[in-house]
Amino acid sequence: MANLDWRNLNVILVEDNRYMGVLMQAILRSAGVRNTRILTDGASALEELKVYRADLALVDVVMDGLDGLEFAKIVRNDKKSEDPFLPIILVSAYNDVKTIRAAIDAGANDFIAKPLVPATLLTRVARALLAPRPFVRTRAFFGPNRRRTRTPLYRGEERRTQEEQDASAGHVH
Amino acid sequence: MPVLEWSPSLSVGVASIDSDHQLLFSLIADVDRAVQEKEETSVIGSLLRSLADYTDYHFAREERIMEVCADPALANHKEYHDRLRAEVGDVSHHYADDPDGVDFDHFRGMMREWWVDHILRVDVMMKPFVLANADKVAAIGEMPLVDLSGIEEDALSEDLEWQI
Ligand SMILES: [Fe+2]
Repeated sequence: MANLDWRNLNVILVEDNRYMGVLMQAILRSAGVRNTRILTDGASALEELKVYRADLALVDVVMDGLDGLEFAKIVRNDKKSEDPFLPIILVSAYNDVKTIRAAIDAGANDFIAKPLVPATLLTRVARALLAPRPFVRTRAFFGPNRRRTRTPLYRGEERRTQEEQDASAGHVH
Repeated sequence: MPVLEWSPSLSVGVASIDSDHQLLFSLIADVDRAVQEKEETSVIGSLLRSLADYTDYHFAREERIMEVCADPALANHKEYHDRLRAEVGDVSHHYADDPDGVDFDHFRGMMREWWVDHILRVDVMMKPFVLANADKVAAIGEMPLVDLSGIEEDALSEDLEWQI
């Protein structure tokens, strides 16, 4: 079975609430993650990514300045992006369908609702790194496949377009 | 001033236990400060849930250490743990159900009294057993907050469906 090397992960935490940033850092540290950076808005996180090789970003949705959704869109789509494939998990106290849909459409790999549960945070980090959804590129979207499941039996309303299927043949990290 | 502040006078002589106590104290202080600053309920709820889970984890670690050291005080020590485990778990659940219903003055007082008394009167008694069994204690190794192999398996087996 694949093993996650927690001790050598570099994680960037983008969170404007001082309690939450430090809390996520402590939870990750308890799993062995030694190297984390906390930034308090999307713009400074983008700057940090130029010098910090992050393996994963945990990003608050609602922040003053550049918010989590905009951050994800820039990482995925900007020509100068350091790493368009960076695993991004968005975090928010607003866990309504609209926010989650917006997170997916921004190119997030996953979404975690606050209040945080430590085991959930660690499971989602492990999932994003060990079982990533394949990336797809269409005219309007680049990011992890937005189909809701990879189970072949599933025939959901969001059938992939031919374009998406072609694009997902090529991929990833 | 924080509700609880760790100092070397609270050391029980076991590094992993001391560092757990430091983290727990800082979580407790953060809960208290966040409450006073009227932080969002999602923030206070995150801190409380993490405190409850880490309290569980820390007690399990201590009990495991006492077990491998064959410390005869284990059963008695565990009773103290069970009481606080239940209290902190209740506060976290209660807050999730009804954020305005939690008596945080009581919480603060309880934390301050319980921890200092417990460390200085109960935890310190472990020290001679731990020193006499240093190799066995070391063999426990680093105990992760949650069973990470389980987590990794969950991560792989979990349905990738979005939770909408
Ligand atoms: Fe104890």
